Amino acid sequence: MKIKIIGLLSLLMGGIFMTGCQKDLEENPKSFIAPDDFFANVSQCTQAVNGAYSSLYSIYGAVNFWQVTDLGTDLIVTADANNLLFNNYTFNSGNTGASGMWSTLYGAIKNANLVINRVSKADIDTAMRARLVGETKFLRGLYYFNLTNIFGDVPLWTDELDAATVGQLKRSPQADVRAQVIKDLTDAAAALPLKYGATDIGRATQGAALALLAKVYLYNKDWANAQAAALRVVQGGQYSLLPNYADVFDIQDRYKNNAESIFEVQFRRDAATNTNVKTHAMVTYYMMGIDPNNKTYAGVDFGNTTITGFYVMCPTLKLDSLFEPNDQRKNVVLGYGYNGQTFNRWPRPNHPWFGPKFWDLQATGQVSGKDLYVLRYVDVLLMLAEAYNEQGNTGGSIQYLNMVRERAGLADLAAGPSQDDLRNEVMKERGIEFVGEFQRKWDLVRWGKLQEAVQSIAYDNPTGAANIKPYMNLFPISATDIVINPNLTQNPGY
Amino acid sequence: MLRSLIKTLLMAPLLMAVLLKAPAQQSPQIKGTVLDGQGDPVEGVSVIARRGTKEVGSAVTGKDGIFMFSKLQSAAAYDLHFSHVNYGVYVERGVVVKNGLTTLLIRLTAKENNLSEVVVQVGYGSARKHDLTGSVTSVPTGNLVNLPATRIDQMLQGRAAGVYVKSTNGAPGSPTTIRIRGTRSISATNEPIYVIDGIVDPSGAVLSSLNPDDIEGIDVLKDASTTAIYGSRASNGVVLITTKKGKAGKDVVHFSTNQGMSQLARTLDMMNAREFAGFENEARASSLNNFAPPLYTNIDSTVKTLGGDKGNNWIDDVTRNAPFSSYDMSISGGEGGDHGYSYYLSGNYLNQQGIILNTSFQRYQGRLNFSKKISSKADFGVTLNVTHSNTSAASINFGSNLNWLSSYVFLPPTMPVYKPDGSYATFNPTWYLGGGNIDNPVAILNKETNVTPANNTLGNFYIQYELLPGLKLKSTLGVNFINSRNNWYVPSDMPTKILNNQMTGSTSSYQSNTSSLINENTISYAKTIGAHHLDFLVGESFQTRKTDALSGSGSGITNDITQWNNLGLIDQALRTIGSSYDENTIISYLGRVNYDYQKRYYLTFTGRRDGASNFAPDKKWGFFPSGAAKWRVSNESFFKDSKLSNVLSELSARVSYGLSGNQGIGDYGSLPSLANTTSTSYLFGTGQTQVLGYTQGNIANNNLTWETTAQLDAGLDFELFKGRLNLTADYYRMNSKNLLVTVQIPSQTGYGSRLVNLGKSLTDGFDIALNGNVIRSRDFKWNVIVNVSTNKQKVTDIGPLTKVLLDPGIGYGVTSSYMEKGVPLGANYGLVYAGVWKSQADITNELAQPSGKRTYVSASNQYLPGHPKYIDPNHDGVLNVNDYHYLAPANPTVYGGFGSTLTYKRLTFDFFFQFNAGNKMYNGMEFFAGTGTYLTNQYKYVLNHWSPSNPNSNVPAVESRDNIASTRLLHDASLLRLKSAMLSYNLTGLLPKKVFKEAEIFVSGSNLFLFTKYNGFDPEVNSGGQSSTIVAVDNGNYPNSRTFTFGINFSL
Repeated sequence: MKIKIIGLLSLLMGGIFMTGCQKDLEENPKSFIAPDDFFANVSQCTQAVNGAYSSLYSIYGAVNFWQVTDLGTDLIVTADANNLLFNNYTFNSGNTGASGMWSTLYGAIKNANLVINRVSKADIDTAMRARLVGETKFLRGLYYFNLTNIFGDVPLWTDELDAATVGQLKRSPQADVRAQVIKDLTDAAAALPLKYGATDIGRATQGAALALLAKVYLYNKDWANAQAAALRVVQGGQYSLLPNYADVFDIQDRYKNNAESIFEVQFRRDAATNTNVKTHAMVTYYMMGIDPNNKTYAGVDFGNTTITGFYVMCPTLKLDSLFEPNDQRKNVVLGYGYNGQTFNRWPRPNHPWFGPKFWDLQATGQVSGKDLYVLRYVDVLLMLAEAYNEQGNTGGSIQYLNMVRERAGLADLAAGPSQDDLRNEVMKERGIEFVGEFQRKWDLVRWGKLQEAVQSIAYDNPTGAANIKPYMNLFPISATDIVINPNLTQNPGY
Repeated sequence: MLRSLIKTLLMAPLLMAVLLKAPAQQSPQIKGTVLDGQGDPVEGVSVIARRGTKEVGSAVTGKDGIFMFSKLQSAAAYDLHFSHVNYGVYVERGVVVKNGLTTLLIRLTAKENNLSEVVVQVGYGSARKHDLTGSVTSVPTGNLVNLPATRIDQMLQGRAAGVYVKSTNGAPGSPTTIRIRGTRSISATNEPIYVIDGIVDPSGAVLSSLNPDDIEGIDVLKDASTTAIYGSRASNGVVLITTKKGKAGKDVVHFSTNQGMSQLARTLDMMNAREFAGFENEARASSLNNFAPPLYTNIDSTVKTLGGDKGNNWIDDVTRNAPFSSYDMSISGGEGGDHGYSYYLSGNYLNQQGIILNTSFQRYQGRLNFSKKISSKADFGVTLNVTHSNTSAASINFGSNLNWLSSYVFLPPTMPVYKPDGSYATFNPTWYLGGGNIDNPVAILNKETNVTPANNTLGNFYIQYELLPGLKLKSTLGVNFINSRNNWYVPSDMPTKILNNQMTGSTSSYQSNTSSLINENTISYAKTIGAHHLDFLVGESFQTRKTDALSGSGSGITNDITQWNNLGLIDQALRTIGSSYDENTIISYLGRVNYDYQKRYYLTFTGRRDGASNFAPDKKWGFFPSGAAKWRVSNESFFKDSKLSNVLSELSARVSYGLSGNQGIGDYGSLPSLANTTSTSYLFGTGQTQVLGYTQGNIANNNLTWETTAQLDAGLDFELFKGRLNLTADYYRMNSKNLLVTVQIPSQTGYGSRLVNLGKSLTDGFDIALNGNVIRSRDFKWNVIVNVSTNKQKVTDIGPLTKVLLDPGIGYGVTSSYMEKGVPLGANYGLVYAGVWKSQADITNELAQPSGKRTYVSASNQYLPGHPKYIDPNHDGVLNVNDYHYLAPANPTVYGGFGSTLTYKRLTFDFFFQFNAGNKMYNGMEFFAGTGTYLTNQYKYVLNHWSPSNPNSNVPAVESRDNIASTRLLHDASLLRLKSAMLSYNLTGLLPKKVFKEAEIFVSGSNLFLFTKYNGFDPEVNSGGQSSTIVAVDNGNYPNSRTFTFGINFSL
């Protein structure tokens, strides 16, 4: 018995001394992958690039992006308490302001940097590798472009993350950031195809890279290069205006990635099966509220829809006044009724609601699957119009402006307008075309007209008109970020 | 002396009876009675009869102190060995028996002092309380058994000095958060580790799987000397739980039941429908709402349709009186001797219904504790606990601001539960100005299912052999298997689904399996050489835990029958699936030396070397040594000779110092990873198909290693009046370094935060425990226990950072907790409320002051008459993060409990109060319900808000929601709670003695009264759950209940 017990004990003890060695402490994760074990083939590299696209959702689908780009302009006002900061120009370095976009965009840049660096070194098909790197460079260009438009000078890094170094970076001048964006987009334009096969629709094309490149040049007031890049989009022959402006914003599937779309963020909600694949809540920001104990909206029956509308974004009287008579866009951008019924209440006296451009009658609750445009062909035409005009070529400018006007059902411009007239026409057209498309604020800033524009709508936004100062063209860097990285400087004025 | 004589005389007839009943002239027998110093019979004394070295029989004394051996050899001499835990060993040598009966009367003297012989578990062994060099608090569970507790940690509340136990919420079966001597860690866990019958740190949920009735005792190790034996994981203290074992002697069957009712203990003082309707109209008309028209144009008729001013009280709607019921049965016994055994077998059924509709916790549990001696030198045994539980949880919002539109705290009292046609009302008129449709909380509670069945098996097997006298080898194997599956189903007929005509169901299911294995091997040796006593322990431990999980979910389910039971029926496009796997290993080598000289001077050295898999490759190992010394003054001859010893029967001084570690972080924290973007996968292609993508996940951290705490403890133990009064007082001071902190890193890196070792914290305080048997006469007994602990803590270093935000999750940019040098962990931050702007002139005057000279500041849109203003600490007139400063600690500075047990003849009354003070907390719900926003119902005090007609009020005007944490919303969380009370009547002897050994009936209650100024349901709540740092935010939680039960308790 004694021998047996001792034997058993020594077996137990000895067994464990043998197994209980250092090796058991090595971690061999089985439920995730380390970067070093990836990027080995085309599929893996493609998946990494797909990851870089997914940041588009956290940018374009984010409330903070809508607030930063469309509030505090002359076309949209709000009375909603959670959005007043942007409307009233009361953001500062302490309240959250645009800090959400700062972290979101750097999160996107961080992913793009990893992908560009790893895929560039991957041992895969050269053509495919060039395309994948090109796609990601387009994305990184877009992310940095948005970032510098919001904050001006920003830390610039393009290598794979070394947290200690990157965390200490100072802000680089906006010009340097834009130079990097131009470099990325030029590389992308050289590597990307004109179009994709059916399964890859939605990826960045050469047209997308060139259109964005034109825009960066335009923001730099480098009119000649803007014109050249935009012309290459036109010459590529891939895009055309949809004849009917309303169709551009139609929720039906056949209008997704249409001929006018150069780059759009893909969302999807399958109304037939009530499936929310990838959605955003922008419709709630623009849609009127449901009537108490009813299924109507401001007295109008929209059928089976159940959108929860908060009408955070309301059009200004100025936006209403921009439309010429018979402009077919008016009843798309603005809403006065639906299906023969007229609304019985308004967001504020004498103001219309926002219109079908922003509605999604297939949405449910707060969930919409409407794609969001980043670049439309009409943008390229208006960029050309602006670039030509700024270089003194009014004839060239009118040619493109008229293309936009014709689609809107308006007569061609009368001959002989001055450069100033055309400049105003461009500003007006951009306002009408892109209201709610994340462009107005940046357009006003680059034209040097933000303060003037906000003061021009004192009737709709007295607080904002009183508060706005020239330095508010840029958002403040969050005080929290400056505390953590003392090398960061604050934008002037904050 | 006289008393013991009387007792002996009293015993005499009993002895006579034994003698008379003796059978005549059989084989030789020995029969005897064991008495104590006072002449009372002693039960449970193990008696072994030996002839030479050979054991020939064993017996155990019964309740009457009697033992017996039969079939002995005539004229042989036997040695009888008597042993009992309280009396030590006594040997009666050379008992010669002849044919017939030999009777003996054995008188055992208690070892020194009976009370000093309390045995305390210290980890890998036990020690007599008076030989302890470290700081250990023992909680005997004897007088807790009749209380309606589901989990043993609930029973610990207020009972142990230095142990702060706080409920996280009131849901049935939900966990508590425990802080032993305060909080020291930031991102790693602050919870102690549990050791259950020797199984170190079993996986989560283990406490709810144990039956409180099975617990013999709880010992809490607090100082470095005692915790260091558990090295790596011990810096937050160790809770040792020992379950009941069978006692040699007769089989005992025990049965008890507890039946009762729980109810909502305290409600919130919210506006009724009439008050709310008036308020709502006024709030909407605010300039901040663009002068919106009134919602209730005719309040009288609104109220009338709701059936009166009260309207609909949502808190009443979702709560109920809920039954509580528990049944316990056990059978135990055993036999002494070299081949003896002991067993304890028990079963428990608990059904605790929650006070929120359709919530519950049910437990079916069984236990077997068994041990067997194979020889005088070898034994083996098992403790095995098997539990099946079923938790039914609520899927409603309990008052978190982030989902204010449907919380039962926030919904307007003007919204009914049901429409006139009997269907559920869906329209929330205050969901922004337009209102919107929701599933109301009653509908959710009645229709949605959220159940978690779980199985938990916890077993520990050991074998032990005494190789040489005093040298013991022991090998244990512990296992813990947990599988649980959470199932959630939302049926197709939810009110909003009917409304939207999208009537399909959706489900999700999450299955998780954990298997842990622990093998420990120890060699211990005890040796006494003259006055020197030595105790050695060396050992090693290997522990591994594997957790895998599988989850699936889906929507568009066209039937309500299959729910989560056939996910395959769900349309492929509407299904999601996920899985995960985690593995953790800890290897340890441990050792301990105890030395004492004449029971006067004690020394203990402990060391443990631990390797943990979840640290960086070259940083896995840590060494945690400790030392302790004790001087037992009362054993010095000068002391014994002094008059002081008449009063002070025991006095010792202890000091210990040592290191312990913390590795309470997740696995794989040091390794880089790619994250897949399942939830954000981008869509490509004409059909917009989701395509898998990867992004950068964790970034490598090659420096991730142990967090270490160095603790100094100095304590005194007193015993006065022959053990009538016990007092233990300890001072402790802990320095923690290499804190595992999730630090904000510059967001320009693309990351917001990262787990690193950084910074230091300091914690110190006193634990004092007092136990007095004030009166212990035969008919009347009065016992008092008091314990008080203090705790002070602060962050002493956070490296290059100055102020780190800890987000308590109130939402909407409300920041109320930061970490800063010199400030306690988890501290409450904010501004000092300075009332409201009384007039426009008030505002104009202030704004006329230049920046740098400002006194008050407001959020930028709140410079309006009647809106809140705050003291501007930096006088710059701008309200930003720089203005937030430390206001109050989140953890109590003083806490403890006191209680008393009074026994008069058969009647026992027991009560216990628990208290804490010095801590404050934010009522997160008030950031909506106390700010006059038209979006939600409001606290009643908002009725007294500032308005042009109520210009002197300092309650802010309507629409004052500025999301600023301030002293206005920070409440004193001090409390005094009548934690439990029980009245029992002992029926022993009144019932047929042949059937009932013992019997008792009782009524008891828990959480009976709460005295606090706090305006939420209960200040004992933690929205951060068991979060390390967030301990003081009430973000709306399942409210605590009060429970009353009655029961019976008997042994056969």
